[in-house]
Amino acid sequence: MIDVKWQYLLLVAVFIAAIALSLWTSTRVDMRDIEQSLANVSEEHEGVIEGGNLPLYIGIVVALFFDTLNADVQ
Amino acid sequence: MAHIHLPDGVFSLQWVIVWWALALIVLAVALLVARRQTFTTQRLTAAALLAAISFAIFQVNIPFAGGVHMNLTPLIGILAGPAIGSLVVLVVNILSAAIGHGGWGLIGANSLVNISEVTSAYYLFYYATRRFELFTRGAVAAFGGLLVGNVLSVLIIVISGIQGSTLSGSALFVYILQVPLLNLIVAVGEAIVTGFVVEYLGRVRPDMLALRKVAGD
Repeated sequence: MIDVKWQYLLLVAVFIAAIALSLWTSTRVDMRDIEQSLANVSEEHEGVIEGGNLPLYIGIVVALFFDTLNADVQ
Repeated sequence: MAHIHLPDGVFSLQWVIVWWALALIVLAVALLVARRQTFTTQRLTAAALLAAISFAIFQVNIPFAGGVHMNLTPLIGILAGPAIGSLVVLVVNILSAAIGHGGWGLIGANSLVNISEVTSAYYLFYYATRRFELFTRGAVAAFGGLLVGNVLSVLIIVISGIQGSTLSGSALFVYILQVPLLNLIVAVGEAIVTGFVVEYLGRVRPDMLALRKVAGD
């Protein structure tokens, strides 16, 4: 077992490095801009999978999952 | 944390089907594993509560770099295990899509990302870090699990490509790599929260952390 003091010191060092990297990145980019540019779908492609019965299919799959799980409860 | 917030239409239909199919295969395996396990009512209740808590925390927007959120998927992995945890994140992703948090077509991709977090956090907690104290184990498992999920989400976006975008391949990879770097700050917060929760449960309800007996525990 590594001493708790060293465990926490190592954690703090890693976390401070991660926060510093994240904050530095945030000063250089705008995530909203990234998401908007990625989601800037042309009219030709917009909603290409909408209009089907996907939510219904998902509902059926989920219902089957719960049905299976429920049967196994002891 | 790692969650692809893109609407329907961003991925081409073929990639939507590919990620959905992969997710269903992984979920089928999770179901088969779950059926072999002893499934107590207490564990089912814990899984249901974890789904509710995770769904709620998904919707709490942290105003950093355009908005990020916690997942608590590593905690799901630690408390529910990879098999039940995979089903929990599927439910959370379906409910999230129902309120416009990520597209319907991306439930498959997002489930794969979250399942990777659940599974990696579970193995980090119960195997890789068992020589450490509980808080450290929880924090390392959460941080590591979320890093894995972030890498997978970047890979999924780069492999799928963006319809109507001129960015692709390595250019898209470099561009999208900024997102996991921004997410690191939330990973730290989530790691600390997970560490405290695990340490507390270890003191008051150690049975909830005993999904698998590990030598040395």
